[in-house]
Amino acid sequence: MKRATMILAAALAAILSTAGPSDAKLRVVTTLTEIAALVREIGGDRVEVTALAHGNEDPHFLAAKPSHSRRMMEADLLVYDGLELEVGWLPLLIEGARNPRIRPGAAGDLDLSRFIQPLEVPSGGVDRSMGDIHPEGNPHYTVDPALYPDLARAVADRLNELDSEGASFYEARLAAFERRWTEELTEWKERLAPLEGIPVVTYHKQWEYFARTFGLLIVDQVEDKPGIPPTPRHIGELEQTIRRENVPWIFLSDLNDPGNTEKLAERAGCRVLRLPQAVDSRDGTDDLFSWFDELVRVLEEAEREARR
Amino acid sequence: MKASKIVFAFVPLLFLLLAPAGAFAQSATATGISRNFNPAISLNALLLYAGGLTAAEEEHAEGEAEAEEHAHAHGTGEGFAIQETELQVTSYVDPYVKANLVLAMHGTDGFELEEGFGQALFLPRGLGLRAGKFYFEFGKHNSYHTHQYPFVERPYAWDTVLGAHGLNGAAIEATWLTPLPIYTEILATAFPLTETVYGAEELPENTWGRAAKLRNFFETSEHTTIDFGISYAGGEGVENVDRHFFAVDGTFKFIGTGSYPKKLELQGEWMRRFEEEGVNEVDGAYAHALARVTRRWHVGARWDGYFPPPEDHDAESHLEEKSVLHEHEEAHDIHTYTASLAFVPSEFQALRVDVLHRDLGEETDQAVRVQYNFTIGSHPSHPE
Repeated sequence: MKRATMILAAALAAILSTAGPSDAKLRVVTTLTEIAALVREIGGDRVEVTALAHGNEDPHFLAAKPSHSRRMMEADLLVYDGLELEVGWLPLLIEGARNPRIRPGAAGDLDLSRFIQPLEVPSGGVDRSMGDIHPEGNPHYTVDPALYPDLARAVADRLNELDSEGASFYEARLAAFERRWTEELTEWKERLAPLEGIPVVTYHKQWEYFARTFGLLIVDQVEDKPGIPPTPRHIGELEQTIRRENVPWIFLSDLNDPGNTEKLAERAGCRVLRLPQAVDSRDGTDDLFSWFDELVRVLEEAEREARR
Repeated sequence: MKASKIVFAFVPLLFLLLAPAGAFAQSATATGISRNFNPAISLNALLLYAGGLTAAEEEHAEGEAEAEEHAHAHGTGEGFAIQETELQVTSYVDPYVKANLVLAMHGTDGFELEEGFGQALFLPRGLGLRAGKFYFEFGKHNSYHTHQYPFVERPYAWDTVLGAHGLNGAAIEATWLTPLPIYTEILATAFPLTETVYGAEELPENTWGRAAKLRNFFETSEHTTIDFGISYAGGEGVENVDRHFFAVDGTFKFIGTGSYPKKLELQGEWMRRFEEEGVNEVDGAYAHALARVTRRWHVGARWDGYFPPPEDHDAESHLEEKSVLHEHEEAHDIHTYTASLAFVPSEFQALRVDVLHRDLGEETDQAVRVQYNFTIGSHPSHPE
């Protein structure tokens, strides 16, 4: 027993005496791939960024793996979507990481939802009979390119705070990002201008922010309650809505199961449009610019086809 | 002073010593009643139908009132029963400690404290500390709460060898998530010895047991992981006889893509209890496969084995601690085969049907378990 105690004491002394991370890079862990891409835009070479979710994983239901906690253990900064999108797994990982730097309220805790105005904040009380409802509002805001300048500013401010030596570096990269983003956004808006006022149906309440920026009208969802499979009655009503409103497309992310939605589209005489929902959800969508380019391309092509 | 009392006296002292200065400054509160700082509360209920008993049922009919009472308390008798109701309360105490309480009611007999511990939030470098009462990290199955069991019942050996409540008690646990590139976690636990580990009530005072675990976790690909652990628990007990528990566990998981991915889990665990080399050696083992085949349907199959020593008088003392189905006093190998089908309409409820076939050597048992469970309240986090 005495020997065991001595070994333990020696091990503890060894841990406590080791220096911090040997390289000077700021270690950032993000929940979503698009948030990781944003941090890379601002942090450049001064940061080392990993996303916990893959581009084709559903952030509502990510499997909380111990290896995720391991990555978070050494992180200086954790950046996440918030609005309870990650509530099923992130608290568990934060606990597993045993890293006071990134715990809620610490300097290394960055909830990006605090820098946007959430849509669809329920006005009355909420309960689970309404499905997987988010009491603080719709969490799928990262598909809205118009929000990125504000999100980028929030990231830059936090990087400055944690790594003040890099302040001018981050500011310069932020300015460059904002310039390029404004140009691209103007172009994306021009390319998608013909979509303004077009009624669409979406599978999940996932495209509300995107629709707001590009003027699309979302008339209904395939899921009548978020996260709950639709009832046959709702599908019947939806078929009528699609015909009545002349809806050309049902938006489905690459994550959604197309099965019944394809059948509905066939009956109602519209088309299922599969959209990449995140950075790295498809080949060639490995940063923010290429991801939004792909989104715009898919919609632009669909619009051209619909006109023919 | 009982050893468990010492633990509880020690906890606040420990946090006092470790918390930075200024931690205990209190600011005045405004008048009125605020709900802002209420803890997160969730409640889970398990309703059970048990039926189809054969050999065990006959023995049960012959008497054994104590076993019946116990089975009733655990909701494992025949017929419909509320198996368990579990109330979980979690909150930050302050910036330095998080508290977690789990109150469980077995059947309708009143709540008991299943877990209640404080967790340090301030330790750096992957270090963790918790103190209070909790399930020890010993193998995989021991730390599962009833609603987390992969099948309705625990494997036979876990129910008999570890006792009806598993290795659970007042303890202090230190953990270290090492900075090695492969996930490596080391856990060390010290606990005052109680009947939890010994099944004996007359223990020398102030004797402490110890437990340790090494856990590795590998992400073998984007879709697959392997989890591996070795565990020990034990201590000196009645008449200076040491009792030891060892366990080795391994889990392989596959998780597909999409919102409701297909999943496969293969898990195996082996456990041994002994007093001295070769004395009163009892082995337990299980292997299971669980699969999510569609969005709402899951299937599973398990084998589990119980291997007592040839003359296992000791194991008999544990027989009182078991459900009706387990009531076989002969010391021979027992193999149980379970098939399971579950319907999971949402992450907040599930309906499960288990069919068991138990091979007791000369005779066999068949049983069916139908379990419905639901969770309400604060969104629970679920580990993978």
